Amino acid sequence: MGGGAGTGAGAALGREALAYVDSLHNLARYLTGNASDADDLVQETYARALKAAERFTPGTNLKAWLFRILRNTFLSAYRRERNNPVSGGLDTVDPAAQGVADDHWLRDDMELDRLRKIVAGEIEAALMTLSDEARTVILLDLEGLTEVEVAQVVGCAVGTVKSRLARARLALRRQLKDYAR
Amino acid sequence: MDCEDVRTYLLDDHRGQLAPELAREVRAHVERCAACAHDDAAEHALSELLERRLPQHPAPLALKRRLAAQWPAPGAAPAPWWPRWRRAVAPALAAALVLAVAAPWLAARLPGAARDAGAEGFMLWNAAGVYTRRALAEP
Repeated sequence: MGGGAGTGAGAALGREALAYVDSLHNLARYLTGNASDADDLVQETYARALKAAERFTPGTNLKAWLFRILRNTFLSAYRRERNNPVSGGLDTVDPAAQGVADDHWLRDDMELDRLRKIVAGEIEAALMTLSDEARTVILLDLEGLTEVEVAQVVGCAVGTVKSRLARARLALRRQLKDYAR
Repeated sequence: MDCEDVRTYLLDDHRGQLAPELAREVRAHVERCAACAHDDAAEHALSELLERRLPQHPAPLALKRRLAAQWPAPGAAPAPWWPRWRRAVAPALAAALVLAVAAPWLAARLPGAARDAGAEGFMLWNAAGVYTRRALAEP
C-alpha cells in the first residue's frame, strides 16, 4: 500500500473499512476460486481503496464502495488473464446449466425435498458453476446489500439487478438438481 | 397480475419489501396458483440453503494483520517514546539511580573503613615485626 496510510481520508476510513474484510474475502474467494488469489484480490482492493479514499463520500455505504472496488479489481485482473489461453472466459457457466430444457423439474414437488437435503459442499459447488456475474449478485444479496447498492457495485440499473438476481437464483436451482439426492 | 409478475415479487415479498397492497395481491395469487405456490416454497428453501449452509470464507488472520499494519485505524497516534526506549534504557537508568544514591554514602564510609583497615593492618604488621625481631634475637 502506498504512503499516507495513517493520515487524512485514508486513516479516517481505516477501522471501518477493515471491518468488512471477511465479507470482501468471501466474495473474493467465490470469484477467484482459491484462497491464495482471494488474499491477493482483497489486498489489492484495500490498496486501491486507500489510494481512492479521498473520493469516498462520507455517509454513503462504505461496504458497497469496497465491493465495487473489489469487483473492478477482479475484472481488470480477469482482463489480463483473458489474454492467457489457459484461463476460461468471464461467463464460465456451462450453457446447459442455464438451459430451459428441464424446467419441468422445477415444478416437481421433489425439488423441495431435494433442496432440503443439499449439503454445504454441494451448494458451494453449484454456485461455482454459475457465471461470475450471477455469483456476484447472489453473494451481494446474501450480504444484505439492497438492490440499489448492488446496482452501484455492478454498475447497472436497479431493475437489471432484480432480473439478474432472479435469473441467477433460477440457474442455481437448476444446478442444484444435479447435486440433490 | 400474472405468474411471471408474481415470481419477480416473491423474493421481495419474503423480505417484507413490498407495499402492503402489492404484498396482498401477491399472496392472493400464490394461494390460488399451484405453480407459483411451488416457486414460493422453493425460493424460501433456496434462501434458507444459502443463508445456513453456504460455506463462508473469512479472511485469514495473517491477511488481517497485514492489512491492519498497512492501513492503521483512524487516530492511531505513533507509539509514545517511553515504551519504545524503556527496554533499552531502563536498566541503565536503574543502575545510575543506585549509584547516585549509594555514591555519597560510600564516599562517607569508604575512607573510615580504609582507615580502620589501615590501622588494623599496621597493628598486625607491628606485631609481626616484634615477633620476627624476637625470633631473630633468640639464640
